[in-house]
Amino acid sequence: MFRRNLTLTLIIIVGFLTICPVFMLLWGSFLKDLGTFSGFTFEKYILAYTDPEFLGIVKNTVLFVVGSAFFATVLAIFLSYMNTRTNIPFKFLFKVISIIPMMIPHILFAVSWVLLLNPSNGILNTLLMNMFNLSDTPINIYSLSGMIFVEGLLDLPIAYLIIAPAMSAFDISLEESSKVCGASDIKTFFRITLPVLRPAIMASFILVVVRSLASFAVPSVIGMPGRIYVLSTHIYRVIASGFSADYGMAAAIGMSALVASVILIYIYRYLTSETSRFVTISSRGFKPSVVNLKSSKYPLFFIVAFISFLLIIVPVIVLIYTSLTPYIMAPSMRAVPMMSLKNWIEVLKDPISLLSLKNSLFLGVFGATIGVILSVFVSYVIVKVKTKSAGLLESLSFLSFSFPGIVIGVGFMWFFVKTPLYGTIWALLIGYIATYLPYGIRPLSSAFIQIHDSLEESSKVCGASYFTTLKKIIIPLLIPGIVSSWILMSTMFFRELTLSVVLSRPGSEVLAVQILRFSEDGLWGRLSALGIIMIFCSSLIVVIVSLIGKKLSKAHV
Amino acid sequence: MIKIRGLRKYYHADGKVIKALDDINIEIPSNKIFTLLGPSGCGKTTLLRSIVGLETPDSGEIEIDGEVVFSSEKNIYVPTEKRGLGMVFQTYAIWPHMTIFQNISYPLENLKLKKDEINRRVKDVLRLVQLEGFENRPATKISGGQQQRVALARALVAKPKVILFDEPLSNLDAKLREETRRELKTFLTELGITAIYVTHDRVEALALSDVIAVMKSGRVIETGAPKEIYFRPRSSFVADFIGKVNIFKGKFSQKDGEFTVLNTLFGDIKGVASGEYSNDKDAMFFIRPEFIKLKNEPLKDLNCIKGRLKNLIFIGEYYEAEVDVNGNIFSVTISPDEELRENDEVFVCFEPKYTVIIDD
Amino acid sequence: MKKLLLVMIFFLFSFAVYSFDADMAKKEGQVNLYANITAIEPLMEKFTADTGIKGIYTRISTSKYLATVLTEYSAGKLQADVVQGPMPILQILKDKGVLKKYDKSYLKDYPDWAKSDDYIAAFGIEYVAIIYNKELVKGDDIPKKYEDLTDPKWKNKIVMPDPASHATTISWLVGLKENNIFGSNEAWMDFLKKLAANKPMFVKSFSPTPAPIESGEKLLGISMPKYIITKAPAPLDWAKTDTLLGSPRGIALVEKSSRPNAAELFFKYWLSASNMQMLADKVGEYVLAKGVFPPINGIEKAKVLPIRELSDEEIKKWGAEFKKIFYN
Ligand SMILES: Nc1ncnc2c1ncn2[C@@H]1O[C@H](COP(=O)(O)OP(=O)(O)O)[C@@H](O)[C@H]1O
Ligand SMILES: [Mg+2]
Repeated sequence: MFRRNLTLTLIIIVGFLTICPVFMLLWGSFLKDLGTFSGFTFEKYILAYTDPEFLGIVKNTVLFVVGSAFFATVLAIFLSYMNTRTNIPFKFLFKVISIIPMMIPHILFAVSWVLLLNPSNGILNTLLMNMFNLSDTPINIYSLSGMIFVEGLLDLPIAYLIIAPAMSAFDISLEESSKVCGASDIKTFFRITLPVLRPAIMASFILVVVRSLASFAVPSVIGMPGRIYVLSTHIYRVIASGFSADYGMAAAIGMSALVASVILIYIYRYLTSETSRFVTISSRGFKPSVVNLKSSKYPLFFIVAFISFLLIIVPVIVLIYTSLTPYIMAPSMRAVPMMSLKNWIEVLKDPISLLSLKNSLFLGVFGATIGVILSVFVSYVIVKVKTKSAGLLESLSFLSFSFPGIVIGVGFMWFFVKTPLYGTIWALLIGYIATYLPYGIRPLSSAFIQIHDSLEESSKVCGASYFTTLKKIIIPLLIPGIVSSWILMSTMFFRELTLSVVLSRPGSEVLAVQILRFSEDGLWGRLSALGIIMIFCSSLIVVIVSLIGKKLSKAHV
Repeated sequence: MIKIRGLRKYYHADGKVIKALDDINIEIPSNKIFTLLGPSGCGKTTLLRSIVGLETPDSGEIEIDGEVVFSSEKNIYVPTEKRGLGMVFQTYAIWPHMTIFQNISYPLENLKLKKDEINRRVKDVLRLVQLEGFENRPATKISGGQQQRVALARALVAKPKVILFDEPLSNLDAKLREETRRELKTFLTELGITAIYVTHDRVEALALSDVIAVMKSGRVIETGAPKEIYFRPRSSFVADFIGKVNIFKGKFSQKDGEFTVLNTLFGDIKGVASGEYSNDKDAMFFIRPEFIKLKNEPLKDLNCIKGRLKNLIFIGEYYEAEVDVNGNIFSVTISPDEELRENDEVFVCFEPKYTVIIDD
Repeated sequence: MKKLLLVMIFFLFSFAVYSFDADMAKKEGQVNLYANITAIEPLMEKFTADTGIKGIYTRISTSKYLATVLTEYSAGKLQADVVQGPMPILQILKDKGVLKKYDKSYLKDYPDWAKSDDYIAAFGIEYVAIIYNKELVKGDDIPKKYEDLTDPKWKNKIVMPDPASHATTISWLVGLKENNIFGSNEAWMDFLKKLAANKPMFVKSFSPTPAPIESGEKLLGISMPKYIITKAPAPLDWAKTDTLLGSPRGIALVEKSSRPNAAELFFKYWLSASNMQMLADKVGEYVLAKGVFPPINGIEKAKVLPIRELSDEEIKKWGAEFKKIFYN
């Protein structure tokens, strides 16, 4: 009874949040005149899907999203296995590596990689050229593989934060029994660990696919110069070529991304419906077991260290460097005397930058908290109430998330303008939560899947009411999942751009919008300085929350 | 006393209907150990969970100590937490994020008892399950046997009307299982509490129970004291499930005093039948291996059949062997002091009072 | 002190002549400008300081400009009192009845074409030029005319906005033809083909064009001279071609503004020579007020012409055309 009411309430809340903007877009895609919202037409769909180029775009898009998802997921599996299950040294590095890209504004990250790997004078390219005496630069970032590489790195945190908790909560006896059956560590990993972790791995894969489908920074900064167009840049092209940007047409194109995402989510549910019966946290599975890497310990550590160097240190160094130089210059001794703190001073004096920092902090902390609370309920229903309506809820939660960012923002604007929230920070808050709900839900549902029903049931038998059970049993066991969700949401909200750029108004400016303005004005120095401030604040929040989480979940080893 | 009437629960999976509970009618006596025994998948857990309220049956009624806790007809459903029961889960469901003390005090907290009352009762129950001094251990840092006892303590601490067990020993190793079974029996008998115990292990059921209900495919097919079930089962399924047994077909021929005579391919076999039967009706008899004696010649007043000894296996306390009667195999046990060898010609002899005739 | 005096005289004068009420404007307290122009916060601050009316600057990017304004307008929630943007966008707003007529006397020192529209006043030109890295391109290598871009030595060294999709760039390329920069249509086509053969790197709009030039990733590109100011001290300079083209920038009043007096006051202030000077100095804009130039070497000698604004259909058509030429 209670479950049914809960499911219904959530469907209404989540449905309202996500359907409204999507519905506005759907409506808009059938309208002749968006200004007055009148006239009915199929023309936009016909035009959009009879475009002879569309097929090529679809092909690029599929390669791009699947490639990124594959890359991010494999890397995340590797890192989280190393971190949670082996005796590799300096484990703290892993968490850092896997989360930092989450906090770097995507444009900055993409531009950093362009500076490193562009075929004309990319720093790494030049380095390689000199090292191996090559006649030409070896790597061209402006390619599909370049896009996949950078997008994969950017989406790594999503994958890691979903896979790592599942990996650490894994019932060791499943692996132990495989070893007893004579399987090696590696065989056990591929035959037992991976298949049992399938829900988490699939979740991460799907989430990255959906995310990269909507991603714009990498396709525009790296794809466009390489003349490789994917769905989001194709939509941008439609909007940019002409002054009365045709958002109806953009929405019509975006619908295919939406449909693709919804189908993916159903496939995902289908594929994991069986596996979700495999439960991995039982009360016995909580002891840590560590794979001894023996002689491969240091070589593997070297690989991890190298990845972390590439992933965090290099782009961050690039950022620090550009924040100190008056303009973008290739690093050389010549740059040294020109370095100064001027950009930093400018940023710290700029009232809008400071206001946007304050607003983003509010959204990142408060917004993520509300988002996580909603996500706890939603993922509970998705995982534990396995009815049809739970499936509906899950699809709903993905609706606005899967729409390409540039378009969904307009959907939200069309919606919010009809409410008194328009132009306020609350519109941003609601928009963020509605759009990034999957970030909250995914890690939490992986965590829920692993909590054996009997842990909850035995609480009921002990006379605990539903809310007592939630408070005393479920939530504490969920802490690792909650921490992951909170970090994902908070860091996302902290650097959110696509919605903000449409919804923020004077007074409700946020960091990413300010960064975008700096980038549009070409003020890379200030942009980098603000970016570093952003990364710093974000990291601080993440560290604090991780520590709190660790304290709260004593059982989490 | 727990009364269950017409309980039904169907699952629908892949277009098929699984009758997990199919018209269950039983009465569970107070202050006794009542066991649900049956092969895996027969619906024991579903029945148990229905009693606790974790599962909502499709129809029927459950009454605990005079209070109807579930009735499809009257639209009554008392939620689990209001039923005041205790349960030990198969996985124990010890909460890994709590200490042992926190695990056990949890039901008392939900009763909103005072702190010192809680402390006292947890102490008492810990003494009872012999876990004194473990209060502050994290629940993950104890052995399987200890976890089982924590689960038991948690189920008992609030002095529930009924305590339910779902295969609580199946996670323990054989030796520990036997020990724990013994302890549990003494323990529950001393407490004089109503216990419902689910198991698929016949030995466990026989050793522990005051009353056993044997289940098959969602139905309770027989209820009785362990000895009744063992010696006088009323179906071949129960006979077979509850212990090793030799079953052969025949036809009713006549009554012979207190015994009934069955016409079989071994000639006439005398045995006990419950009820009256018409002649020539198909029936079967069965005899447990431990009641069969091997003799060199047939004995009067016993059922005796000639055969040849095969497959003599020494397993410690006794030999297991087979006797081949024209291709029909009797399982027998032989005490180690008998001097018999394979291929010896022997008579399989068994007393009519241990020979059970049923008509299913 | 002198400045203050000037401002006071300016105001005394203006009260006498113009129709809006400065007291009312003060009471209205603030004015909201929707604009897509580069950081003009200093100008807004100056306005606030000079007039005591709070100038709010709502920055909206070109691609979302029309969608935003029209959405707000039809919901009755348009916050803007004054709008600034590319001409074609303002034209559409005018057609939808969003705009209000202005007093042409505010544009006394402006060329006639700037005030030819009753609703939209043009005040600047978003001028485009060949921008190069002055540390890496020197002496005779510096282009002097547009055709110099087609020299094969620049192969893989050029950056420009995507000619197939970026509206302003498309209009600019068509502008080169319509202003007959190359003497004939054939020469223009030849220019396009040879430029395409040099494999320029395409970025999404003008704003990402200077970065690769200043970092040396590319040596030169089709970009905007204003970056020489905003990105100083980056080693950027512009090729001194004698004609520069660009889209006119307009400003207009909003019909249903709830702060009409403040709006009018701002409108007038914006077009004043001192404000225009600041716009030129701070953000390198090319403005139409007489005798006001951005502090860019040699710009006062250049002929800066407004291009004809293309309709969206034309842009799409030409975009497709350029796509055939540039993407092969
Ligand atoms: N949630 C469920 N959905 C579908 N079938 C179920 C479900 N739970 C139990 N069953 C089926 O009901 C039958 C009885 O299950 P259960 O009561 O667990 O058996 P037991 O405890 O006797 O082994 C089994 O066939 C089982 O597969
Ligand atoms: Mg069971």
